[in-house]
Amino acid sequence: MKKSNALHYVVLIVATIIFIAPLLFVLIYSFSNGWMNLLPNEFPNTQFWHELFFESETFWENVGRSIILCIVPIIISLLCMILAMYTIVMHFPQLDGIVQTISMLPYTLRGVVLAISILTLYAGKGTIFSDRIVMLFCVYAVIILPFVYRGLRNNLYAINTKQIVEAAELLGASGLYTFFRIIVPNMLTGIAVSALLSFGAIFTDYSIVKLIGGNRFETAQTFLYYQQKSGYGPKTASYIIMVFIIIFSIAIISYQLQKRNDKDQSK
Amino acid sequence: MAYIHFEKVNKFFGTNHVLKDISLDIEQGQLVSFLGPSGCGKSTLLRCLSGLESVTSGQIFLDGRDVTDVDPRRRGCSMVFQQYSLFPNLTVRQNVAFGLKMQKVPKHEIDAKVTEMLQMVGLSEKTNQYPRALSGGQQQRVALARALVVRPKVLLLDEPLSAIDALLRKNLQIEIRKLQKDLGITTLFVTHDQDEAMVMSDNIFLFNTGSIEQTGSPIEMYTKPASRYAASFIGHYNIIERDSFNAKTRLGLTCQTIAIRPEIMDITAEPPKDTDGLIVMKGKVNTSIPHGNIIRFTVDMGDFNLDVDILFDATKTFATGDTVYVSVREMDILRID
Repeated sequence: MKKSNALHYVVLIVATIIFIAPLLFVLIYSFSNGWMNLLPNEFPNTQFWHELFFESETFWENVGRSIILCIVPIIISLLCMILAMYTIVMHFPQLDGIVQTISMLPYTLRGVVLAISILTLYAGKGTIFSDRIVMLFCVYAVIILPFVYRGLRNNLYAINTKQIVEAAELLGASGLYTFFRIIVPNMLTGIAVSALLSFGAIFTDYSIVKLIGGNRFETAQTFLYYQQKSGYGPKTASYIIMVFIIIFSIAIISYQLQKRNDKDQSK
Repeated sequence: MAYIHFEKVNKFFGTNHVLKDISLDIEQGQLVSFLGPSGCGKSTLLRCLSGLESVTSGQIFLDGRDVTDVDPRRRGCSMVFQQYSLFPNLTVRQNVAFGLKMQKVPKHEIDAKVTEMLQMVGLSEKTNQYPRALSGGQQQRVALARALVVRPKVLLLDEPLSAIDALLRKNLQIEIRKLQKDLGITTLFVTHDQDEAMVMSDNIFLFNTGSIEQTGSPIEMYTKPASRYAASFIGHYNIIERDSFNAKTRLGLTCQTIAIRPEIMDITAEPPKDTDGLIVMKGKVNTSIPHGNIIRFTVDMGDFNLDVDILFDATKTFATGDTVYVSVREMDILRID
């Protein structure tokens, strides 16, 4: 028993080191002026962090664009999928398999293929979908379908939606009232998890935004790419750490929200 | 017309004929059970009455009104489901108050009624807790309170105790029966457990593949099963083919099947002295299994086995292979055609 525990701790420590070490070195690098004989030069050097916070407007604009690019598709995808899954669970359970297959398609269809196909279909056609921003919103809304579908589906089945709706109906509640006051509040955990996973997927994407947006639409990821290619190492490291902090903060906030929601319900 | 009246109700799910020309009456204030195995249509009939399922043909009357096509919200039915179906984001009090809120009852009235109902089901201490913090039995009590507080015309219980452990289940059976009697609410109870139906019901409707096989009070159902199916479902009847029974007893019965309840037989090591009106069969003990204060002996009679229940008696213990004599009064043998 004790041996087994010790082994668990060893695995945990090794895994932690493997995950944390690269971040730690990038962080140290960002507070230096380069490596010298395996040690950071001029450590601690806060010049690049100062620049990041007070002089790098481009970076923050790109981060802002990335966040908008995450939020809009997540809202579109969540709205469509919540309504679709609710209808399926309540009225057409036999269609669940079809929706599952459709939702999983983005896994099989790589982003590059999807982006090129979309461009071929819609670019230069003069419709609203020819707008590159709209195109990006729609492509991302499709790409995150697997995350959104899985989170919402599990949640809807876990709360026994059909019977809850029937119970509410017999007690005199309308369908809309039940949906907004009973079903949606119970789906918040699923929504939060889906949104979080989707946010991570979109925020860290580079290829699709580059293919569809080109040079006209810069995000945090494309900015980082250019910095890595032509920027100064430690300065780029500060950007990388900042992007990581943003993603990590959003993960923590979502986790806390989820925990609070769980705690409220178990009181 | 009865308080609840089903008139030639049919229900199809695709090509599956789930309810076949069901006609039945239920009087006000009764607790009746729909008893039968899974898939026999008992829950579907309950859902048709509630309006959660529509009927393919036929009519349903509730309190003198044709409710066949009435919206479920306006039928005056409340339902308790097997899986409780409490609203997870609402507290116990909010769950119970939900129906009254939908009826736009004034707040002070809601508070008073909810408090009273929670007292009745013994959950006054749990009012501000969420369902997930409650045990299965407590959750089912909340579901019951939520259904009863709106004073429905009819209370529908769809296997509400199936997910609850045996001891708590027995307590809840008694509690539900008491509440139903105190409030005088007409109640339809769906179950596949014949013991549960016996304990709780004024009347039992025994279902068999979409039709009603037999109707009667628990005592009638138990003592006079009308068919082989009823005898096999209610009680623990020994069902014996005529020819095998005649060969063993030389009685020359003409009915198709013989049914004998295990507890009306006696088992002895020696043949009884006074055999007037008694049928005595010699056999060998196969098994003896204690069921609390009762011991069930399975006796091999050659062509058939007989289960015999006797109250535990230290002087009547038989081992496997012992030769025994099983006796039963001829008048206690049920002849089923």
